[in-house]
Amino acid sequence: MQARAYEPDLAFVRKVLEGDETAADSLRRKHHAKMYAMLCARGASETEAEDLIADIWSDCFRGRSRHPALLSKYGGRCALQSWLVTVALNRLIALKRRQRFQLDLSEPGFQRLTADPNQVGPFSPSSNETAITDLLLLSLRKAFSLCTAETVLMLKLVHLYDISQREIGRMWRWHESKVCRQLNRARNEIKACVLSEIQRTDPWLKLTWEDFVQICADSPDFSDLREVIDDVQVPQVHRSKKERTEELNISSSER
Amino acid sequence: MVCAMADDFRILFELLESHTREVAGHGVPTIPHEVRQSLAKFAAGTCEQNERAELIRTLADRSDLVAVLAQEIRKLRKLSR
Repeated sequence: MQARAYEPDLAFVRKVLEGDETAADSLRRKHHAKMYAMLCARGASETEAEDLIADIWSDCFRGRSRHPALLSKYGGRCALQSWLVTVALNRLIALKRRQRFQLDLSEPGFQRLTADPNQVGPFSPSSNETAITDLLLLSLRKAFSLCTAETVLMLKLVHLYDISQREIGRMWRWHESKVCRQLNRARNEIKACVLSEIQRTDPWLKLTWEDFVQICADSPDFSDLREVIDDVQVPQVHRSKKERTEELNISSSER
Repeated sequence: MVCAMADDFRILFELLESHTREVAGHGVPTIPHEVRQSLAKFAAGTCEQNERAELIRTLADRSDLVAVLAQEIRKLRKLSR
């Protein structure tokens, strides 16, 4: 369903892949400056940004050795701009982690069990294409794991299910203002933990909270995953005849 | 500020939830009547503290049940109108 939302981007990509030179030029002109600015803002040097983008354009149009063209992986599940930015960010993360590994190697007394330059920190070598999503999920999970189950439940009810703080207060027999304080404290702690986890994992990466949320929202992986959540149904529950009648009455009175 | 942050958290939860669900699969389990009754009690604020603590532990492991709890809360919302 989401692929249809980005059908114009998908059609444009097809033209580029079919060898339309005008479309290819247009792709570069439209996205080069934005990708360059994004990479520099996230911590790439000017040279690194230029090199990474040059590689991306090269891979976009013709794949390396036996690999297909990078653009053929674009499935139209998010905006082309977001997809390109994510590809660039994944490559920047991979590059910086390789650099960090090489620095580690040059330190005296260095001993490392793995010889794989991609395997830095908690990430596997295969995570190059999902580096940013892995980092987002890792930092989020860490931050939420520091909250109590009670607080996470309250946050979920408020943010995922639009339950009001007043309703939460009734459930816990708390005053609404206590719920409000508890949730605000938790949000601030999660925010601080997420940013510090990112800083700990990739110290060079410049991300504000707003950047972090934006990347989460724009991530192609997120778009793929949102299709999954759209399909999910809540568990079926056994209802008595009386309960079903009550529900029907509520719905008909609303209409 | 609080509102902007609130929207942020919806995005973050959706990312986490959808990823967890992708791993867990698409099954739609049926929940026992007594679990649903406990959730209804929780929604109404009539649970004892230990009962609530037990339910919170269950809900932490079964995020699909949070949707059922939310349904119960919304039912009460409609009834109170």
